Amino acid sequence: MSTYALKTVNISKNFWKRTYWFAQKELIPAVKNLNLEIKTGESVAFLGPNGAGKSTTIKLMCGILKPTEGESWIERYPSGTTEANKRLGLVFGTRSNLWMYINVKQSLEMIGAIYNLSKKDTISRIHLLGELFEITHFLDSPPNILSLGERMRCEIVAGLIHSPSILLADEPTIGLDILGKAKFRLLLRQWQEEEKTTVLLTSHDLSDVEAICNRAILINKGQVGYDGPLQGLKGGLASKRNIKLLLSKPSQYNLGKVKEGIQVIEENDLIKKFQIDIQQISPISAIDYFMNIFKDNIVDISVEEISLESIIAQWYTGENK
Amino acid sequence: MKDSLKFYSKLALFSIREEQSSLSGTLGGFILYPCFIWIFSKLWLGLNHNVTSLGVEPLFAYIGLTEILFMTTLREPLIERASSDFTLSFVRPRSWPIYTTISIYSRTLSRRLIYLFLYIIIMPFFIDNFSLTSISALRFLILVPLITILDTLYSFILTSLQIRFYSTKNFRMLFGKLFLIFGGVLSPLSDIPEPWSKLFLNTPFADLIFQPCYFSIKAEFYQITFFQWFVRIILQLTCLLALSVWMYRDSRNHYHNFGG
Repeated sequence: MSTYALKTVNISKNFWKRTYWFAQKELIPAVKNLNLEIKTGESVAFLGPNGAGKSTTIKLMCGILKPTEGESWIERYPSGTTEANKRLGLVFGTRSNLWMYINVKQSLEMIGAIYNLSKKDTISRIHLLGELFEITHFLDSPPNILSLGERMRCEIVAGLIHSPSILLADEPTIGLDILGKAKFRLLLRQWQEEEKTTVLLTSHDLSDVEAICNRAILINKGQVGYDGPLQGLKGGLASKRNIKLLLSKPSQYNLGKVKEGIQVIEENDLIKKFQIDIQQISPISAIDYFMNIFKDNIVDISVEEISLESIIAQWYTGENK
Repeated sequence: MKDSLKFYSKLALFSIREEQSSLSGTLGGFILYPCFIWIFSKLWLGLNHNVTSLGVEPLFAYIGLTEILFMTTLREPLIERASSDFTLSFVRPRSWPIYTTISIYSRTLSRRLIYLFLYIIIMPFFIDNFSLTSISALRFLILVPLITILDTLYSFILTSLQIRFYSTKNFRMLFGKLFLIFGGVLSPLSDIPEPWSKLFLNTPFADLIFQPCYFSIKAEFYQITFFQWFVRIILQLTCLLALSVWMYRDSRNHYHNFGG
């Protein structure tokens, strides 16, 4: 058994594009010399702004697109081959694996047949996954009468019916409400931990990423900007906290003189925002310090970690390089 | 090989079920089909009844048969479904061209057979000669599996074009009009004066719609023998197959699917 689930070596993809019919073709390098190795059982998030090349990267890895240069493998099989494809499962938030007017069970049986599963195996998988993903009670309904949350749970069962070793989930929670997202993440995480399936996730919802993945690959302009543990993305910002004060009346205090370890990031008459470094000053000490300065003028205080969203936004804009 | 045959047979049956699964689509077709025959027959009686060489009753049967073909040719839902399966197909252990071709063929043929059944039921309301209805339906039944293969290839080519150019609404409209005019849906090509008749009869669309419908009613092809028609169909089939292969390869090579 190979130690990696997916591997790319110097993979590149260029597209030719022309803006109008008679215009000269323009070469667009979508992905440049990408070298990646994803180990079996890892959960990896592909992050990046729109047009960064993350979808192209995943499609190259899976064999959906042919690379201009380089090679990729799924386990030990070249991407795009039948043997490689048997190991892949797919869940697309924007594209359905199911047939809208055919009941879910019949659709799942057909997908099982596509992967050459016997009828007996398919039915036992439907039972197992149906219980786990809580879809048993609507197996006899067509997807067009289900809610989006129910449909997405059916989609993930469709993606896992043939026991793939790698699950590719592209924006799987798009359009779901908070409860639907939470349930989806929980079930997927449970499945991933039990089956040790390698999960490749692309999502603009970083709560999905934090709930499901332990490794992040940040792609920008076709290149890897960051590849490592999700928490490592925060870098030096992991020890920072934001403190927000809401005052009852405008303060005349000169904030240019705040204590060491505290930095002013925003101020107006009634709202003051600070960033502290917990290695230099604890949040309790900082709050104590503010209580001394503003006294009874403080209406509300909040302390927050730096969100992954804002850190990734900084990566996107290049401020974190 | 045995497994593949088993799978594609299952796919064909599944596609037939899929074709009938949309209640609104199926019922819509069942209502529209007799409506179209009624409208076209009334129009023809009002405008052209003196000029048809077929005779009034055979003309109504001709309208019924051409509508079966025209209503089931190059259908948008089939092309949309096939093109949306394109991305998925690259990560599935099945060939997209074979999968798509079998799916479109099964769906088109099953819909045609259902309309043919409807034709037998409703034609007695339009014509008194039941033997004309039954015999024309039987002859049509013999030819329809073959002409549906060609029709499937036209859909396959349009699907490949859709993948290549994102949208083929204009192509579909163009092909629809070509089938309508040159196929003889608008008017039997035997009623069109020379030199247009000769020109229209030599297009591939005439071999796909006009000639099979004319044969179903008259038991002979118009101005050609069965053998000549068959050779033309095989020639067309060969060209369409070659074009399908080329279009598929071109679409595959140029496929980039920007933005997910």
